[in-house]
Amino acid sequence: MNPVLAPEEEAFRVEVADFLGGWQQVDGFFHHEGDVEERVRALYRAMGERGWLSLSWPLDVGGGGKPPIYEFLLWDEMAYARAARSPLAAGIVAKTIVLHGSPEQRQAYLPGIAAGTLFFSLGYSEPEAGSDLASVRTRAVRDGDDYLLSGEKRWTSGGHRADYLWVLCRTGTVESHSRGLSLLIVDRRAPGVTISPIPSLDGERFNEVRFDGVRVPAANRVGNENEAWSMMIQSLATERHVQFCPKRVTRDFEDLVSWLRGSELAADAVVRARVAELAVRVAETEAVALTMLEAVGAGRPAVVEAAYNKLTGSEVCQEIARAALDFGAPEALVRGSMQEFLWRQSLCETIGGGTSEVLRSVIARNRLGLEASSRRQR
Amino acid sequence: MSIDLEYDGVGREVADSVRRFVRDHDRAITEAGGSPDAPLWRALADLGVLGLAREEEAPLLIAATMEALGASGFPGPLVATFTATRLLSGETAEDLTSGQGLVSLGVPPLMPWAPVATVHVELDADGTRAWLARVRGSVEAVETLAGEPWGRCTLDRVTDLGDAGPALALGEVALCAYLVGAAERLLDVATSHAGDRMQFGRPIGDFQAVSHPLADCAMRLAAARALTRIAAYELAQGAPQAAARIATARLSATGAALATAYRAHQTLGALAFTVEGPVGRLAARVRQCTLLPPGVVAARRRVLTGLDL
Repeated sequence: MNPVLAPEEEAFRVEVADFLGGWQQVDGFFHHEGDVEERVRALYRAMGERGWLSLSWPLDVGGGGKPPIYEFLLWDEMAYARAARSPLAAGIVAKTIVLHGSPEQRQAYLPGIAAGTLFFSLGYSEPEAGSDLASVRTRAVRDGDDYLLSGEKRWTSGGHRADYLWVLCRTGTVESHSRGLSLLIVDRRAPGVTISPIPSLDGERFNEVRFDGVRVPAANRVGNENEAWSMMIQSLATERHVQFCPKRVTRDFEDLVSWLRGSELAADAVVRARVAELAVRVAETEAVALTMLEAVGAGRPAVVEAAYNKLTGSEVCQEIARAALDFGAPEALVRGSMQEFLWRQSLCETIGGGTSEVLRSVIARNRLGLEASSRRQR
Repeated sequence: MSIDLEYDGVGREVADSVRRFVRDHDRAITEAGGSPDAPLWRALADLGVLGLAREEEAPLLIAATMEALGASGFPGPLVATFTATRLLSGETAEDLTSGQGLVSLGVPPLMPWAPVATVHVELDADGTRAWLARVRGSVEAVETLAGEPWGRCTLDRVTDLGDAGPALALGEVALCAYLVGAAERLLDVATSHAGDRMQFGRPIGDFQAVSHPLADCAMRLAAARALTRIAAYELAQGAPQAAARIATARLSATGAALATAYRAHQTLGALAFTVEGPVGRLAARVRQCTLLPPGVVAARRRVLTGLDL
């Protein structure tokens, strides 16, 4: 048994924490707009220089060839410092291009992604396709060497800042379900792309992205036509371990405890009992993350463990934020206080990146062997 | 070495032999109800289990063993035996590790196993000190929720055994592992029932109202198991954070095991409400064990101490 990081892993974690000491003011984990954007981009470039955005890409495409745990440690420390989240380009996008992209695509996108200068946004969700992505309706019709892309994406985070959109679209028949989907790289500035903001409760924004006959070169299709689904499943598998960073929860809880230390609430028996319960929940979050790292380290798919990790962590960060307001200090209501901000912000954590309901079904199917009939229907 | 939460070496061997033992004695364990008969208890002692507290790496060996014993709902004062044999020495301890004697360990007047015990160990109310004790007068016998023979009695302290902390810490790791093992068994029972039981033309486990709460139990148990094993590891290492970790593991294992027990009851419906059914005995054992000293309130206090709050 060994429940602690290997010395070289711990050394890397410390290196990241030390590096972040010089980036205290980025504040890009929760915020993206305005001044934050420039600071985050500078941070990404500095990370790019260290090879940290391509840490576990294979060596032959210029990556660091490190085991997945290093990526986890990197983004977990980033979350603890509230510095930044993993750019989707360096994860899902780059790893799919590495596995399925053409040599031209690798050359065109990977160096910029690794340097922290090229950004992608995921165009998956639609008004009628959220958790059920196999039902996307955005359609790409072949026209010579191009596709003509039409439809609407929604909840597209960071779409307005990205250089490219990574668009899941239908190239098969209407009934083709998961068997008729393709992935296209779409220039955000291409004619026919309209991006409109949808303000969100955390003070940031989602986007609605409309495609009106956007001409996309067929050379921008990643992998084979109608084979996007298996590529998405595969890329999800390479990203599960960084989908939710448990140290975000640790940090939220530490902040709650230090806020209480300076308050008379710390002496209240009911408050203390609740804090003790939260401490156990935080420890549980850290423990299931370890089971995930154990599985990932052993080369197992970690489907169930990653579901535990995201489900527990996202729920516990809500419990912490909600407890802070339950304690009843009016100061916690003041707009911009950490308490009221986390109360708002944490609402999205059990939705984005796989809802809690979907994750419970993942556990029910893969760990318990239940919900067998619903699997047959898919 | 990468992260690994499995027991290794001797721990794994001991756990394997205990798993074989409980399989071979399945019927005797079930029929024992709350109280093992003398041959069953001595057979467990012959396996070396009752002397594990005196081994090197005791926390890991005991945790591995107790996960396996918990899965069978093995009756008897297992946790108390580990605690007492860490506190005692000489013939008194020998008496317990050989399975010839039986320990009553608790806070008087209501003492577990008092009517049948040969050794009595008194704890003070906050679980910091222990004494070897003797019963004065008679014991008023009672039976508990899980069918254990307890008794109300007056004790005279005979020998001061000193600081009970380290022995109770070991006992608490044993308790956590037992709860995790028992709850995993309950989850297995509930899951296989949910997969087999047909209603409305399909297995009830197809309904998310049934499957999702079980998924939550699986998740909470994964956390409690990991915390229990980490606590055992840190106690074996003599790590400074072990006390807070054990308290956390206790609260986690208690919460997860109770939630799983209640969910198993609900999933099996009326079948779980029968005396013969596969849930009632285990669930009652889980509930009873969660009250063992030093208790969850003390654990919560230790967690808060660890937070410096």
